[in-house]
Amino acid sequence: MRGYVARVRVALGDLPADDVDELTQGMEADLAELVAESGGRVRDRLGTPEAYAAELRSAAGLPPRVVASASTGIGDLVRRLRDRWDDRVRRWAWLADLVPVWWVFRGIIGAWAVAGLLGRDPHSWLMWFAGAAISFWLGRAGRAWTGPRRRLATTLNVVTVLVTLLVVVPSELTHSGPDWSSGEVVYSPPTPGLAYDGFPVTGYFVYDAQGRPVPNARVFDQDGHPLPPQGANTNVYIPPATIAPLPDAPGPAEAPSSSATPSAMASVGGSGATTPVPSATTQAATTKAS
Amino acid sequence: MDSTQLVKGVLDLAVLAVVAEEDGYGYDIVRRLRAAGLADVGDASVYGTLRRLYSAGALTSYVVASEEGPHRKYYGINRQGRAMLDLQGKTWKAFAQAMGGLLDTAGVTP
Repeated sequence: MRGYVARVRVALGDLPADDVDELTQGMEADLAELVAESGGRVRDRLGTPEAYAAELRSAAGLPPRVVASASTGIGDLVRRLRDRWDDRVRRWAWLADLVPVWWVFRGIIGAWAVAGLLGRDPHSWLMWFAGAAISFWLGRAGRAWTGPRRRLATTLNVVTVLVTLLVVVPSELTHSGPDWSSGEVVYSPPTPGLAYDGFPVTGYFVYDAQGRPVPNARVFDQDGHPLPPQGANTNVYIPPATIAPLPDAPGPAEAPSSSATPSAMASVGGSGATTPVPSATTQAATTKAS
Repeated sequence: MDSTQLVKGVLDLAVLAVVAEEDGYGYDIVRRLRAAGLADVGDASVYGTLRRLYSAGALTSYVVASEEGPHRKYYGINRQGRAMLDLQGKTWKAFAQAMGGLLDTAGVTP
């Protein structure tokens, strides 16, 4: 039965909200009586909600339904939301009592957002009070509104809910990062060159899985551009003096062929075998051994 | 002749007459119209007519809250409505009389 009334309301949806209210007020009670009396389903007796609505309009001297064209997606959505809300308010009387509380809240959110946009402190009691007062006044005045103005009010209410959920709540919960509520919206220019978290990166080092540095490694970003674009300061591997191991010889490819090449010598030296080694290493080895 | 069409023409008058007798809510008025013999009257037509007469200033309206169920909307007649009922009623009676005479002459019996 509620479904029936709701569908009648939808079929009357292109009329001003006041007319729809007028036409459907008391309808539930009457339908309940009709069902109780005739015992059948509402639809068997009254036909489809759409046919019922059409008869209602013609008898009331109202224009027939304007088909779709007038109601765009958003407008339709807003209207449906408003209808649902009206329905709820009719059913739960306490909801109407809470409406002024919403007005005050709405005003505070509005003040918060306006202050944030103006770069002021959004936690100003004065602003909040002013916002709440304006919103309360608007709410009272808005009770008499109909048609497009009512739709606008509904839209603004929906926007307030969205702003609350998407901006105010996250911003109030986390005070990190660029934050409206700090009152200073800082637009820092992008750091030139390579940067991480806004700080310039003057060099980076590439190691393989074994902790060996990869000389002349090339790094690409998510778009396939080589880093850094200017290629100036990071391509060079500078071994940290004490922490990282000494650079190994390039690779096994050229290793075993001739023992005369410097690279082969370096390789042998690195492995710590027969050939002359820096004394420091020897010392370290002996210390370790003893 | 389809009596639905006939009812449409005089629905204003019929509704005014029923409400003038006693205030009533939509479904109550539908019921009283049917009990009076207008079996083909449509629910939505009566509701629409009530709304139109109310907009035209011929009826008053008030909502009666009920503890256990949804609210009821009552309609009552006012002075303007009574004047309308009077005028349209006279027109109708004259019309019905003329039609009656015409049909009598033609020998139609109920």
